[in-house]
Amino acid sequence: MRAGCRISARVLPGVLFCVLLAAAWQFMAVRADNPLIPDLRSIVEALGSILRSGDAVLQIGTTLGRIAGGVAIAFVIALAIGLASARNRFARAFFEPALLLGLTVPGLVWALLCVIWFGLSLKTSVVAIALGVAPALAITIAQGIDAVDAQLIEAAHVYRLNAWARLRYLWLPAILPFLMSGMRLAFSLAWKVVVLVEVFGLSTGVGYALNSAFISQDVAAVLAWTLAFTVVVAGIEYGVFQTIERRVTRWKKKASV
Amino acid sequence: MEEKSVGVSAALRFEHVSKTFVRANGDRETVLDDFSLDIAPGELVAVVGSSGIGKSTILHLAAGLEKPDSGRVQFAGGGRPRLGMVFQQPRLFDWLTVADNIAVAVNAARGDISKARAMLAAVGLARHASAYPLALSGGQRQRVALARAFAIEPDAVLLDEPFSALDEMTARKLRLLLQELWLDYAPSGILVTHNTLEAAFLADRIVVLTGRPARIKLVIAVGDARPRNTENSFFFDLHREILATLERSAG
Repeated sequence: MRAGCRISARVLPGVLFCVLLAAAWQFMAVRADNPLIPDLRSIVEALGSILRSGDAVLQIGTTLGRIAGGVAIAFVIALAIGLASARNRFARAFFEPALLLGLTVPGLVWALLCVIWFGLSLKTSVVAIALGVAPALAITIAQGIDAVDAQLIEAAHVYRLNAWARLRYLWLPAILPFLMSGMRLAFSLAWKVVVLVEVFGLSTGVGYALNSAFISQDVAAVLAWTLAFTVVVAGIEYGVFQTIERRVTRWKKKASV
Repeated sequence: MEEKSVGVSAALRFEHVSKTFVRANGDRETVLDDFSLDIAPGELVAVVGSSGIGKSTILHLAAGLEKPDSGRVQFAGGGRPRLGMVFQQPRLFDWLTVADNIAVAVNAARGDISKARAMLAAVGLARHASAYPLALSGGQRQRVALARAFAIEPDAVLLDEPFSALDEMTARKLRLLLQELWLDYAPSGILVTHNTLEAAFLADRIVVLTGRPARIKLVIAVGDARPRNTENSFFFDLHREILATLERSAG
């Protein structure tokens, strides 16, 4: 199959879904004829407005920066806990209650607590994201380490690979699929937490902009902000995650059926 | 405990080794009890016996994957030798190319990296150097595993049923390849196999294990110089003798 055909085959179904969703929304908006369900034109106009004013870039950039900071801290914590839990029975039992608690507590609670504790500061969003994301990420990393083939660990032992070689050639490549899905999960959880923090306690970011639109009952602006951020997240998914994933899994054999 | 080196007559020595495993249900099973065996420099000793008798445990003890409960396993010189090991499954890093799989082992052994590519040519896979293992056939992957074991210029090679997962035609080719590599590198080694004809063709000495815990029932010196011919009726005679021993012990 030619490269152009391959790209079309990958992109077209997604584009088709978006077109059908937009058509369904437009149909619903026309049928409802209600300002609370704006039509596509109103949403596009609102989107154009936040793009032209530069507000979209500023607020989305701010929110992404907070997400990146929070996820980075969560990743370091999760890697340490995940490694310890996977390799040490005591550590697993020790961290288990904390991870279960972390998974159970809703992002809303972390958002509220951090706003109360830290007030209007960068720390608020970063800590809330780290607390909300780290447990799920740690469990994913521990599962990835658990899943490493014991036979390969034995082969690495027999051939005397040192700690660095084992990390580079065995552990990291083996857990990479888990890390990728963990990072995707982390980003989606982080987005939900940071928006809450920005709604409750900050004066910048997409959450703040959404809240402002909500207060003025501007549904088109709410949808425009959501759409703008979704496009950015899709760009990260396709441009970063999927590119890395394709690169690091090129050794995998594709099923012929 | 002070570790003395073995004498010049043995490259690898199992000295009064015992090993007991505790099964998941709590049962204890002694696989080896007071097991002793010497392997001379350049000698390939085949260990044959029924399933679960402890053949692979012997290899795992030699490879350091298991520790003996008592007794000791020693290599000549007392230090840690360069060990090559070929398992029933190739156990390659699927995310590394064929050449990198070998290079990683060579680097870990602080060996000559040019050996990696030369060894690929020796096993007939030079043009697959940049392929990933999953793109190769089972026989080709096992060739890579053989290349990895010999590219480190090993002091000893441990072979754990290396050809049992392959079809007979491929296995025959790989036995001949292993024979060539043995002629070139002359390491010491242990071959664990169910295939008594394979043991007769490849080994210098065949150790037949029976009973639980495993005991050495019979030791046969093959005595035929390499290169050997697979069609030599002598190997078929040995094969029958080993089978008869195993059948007698099975009762």
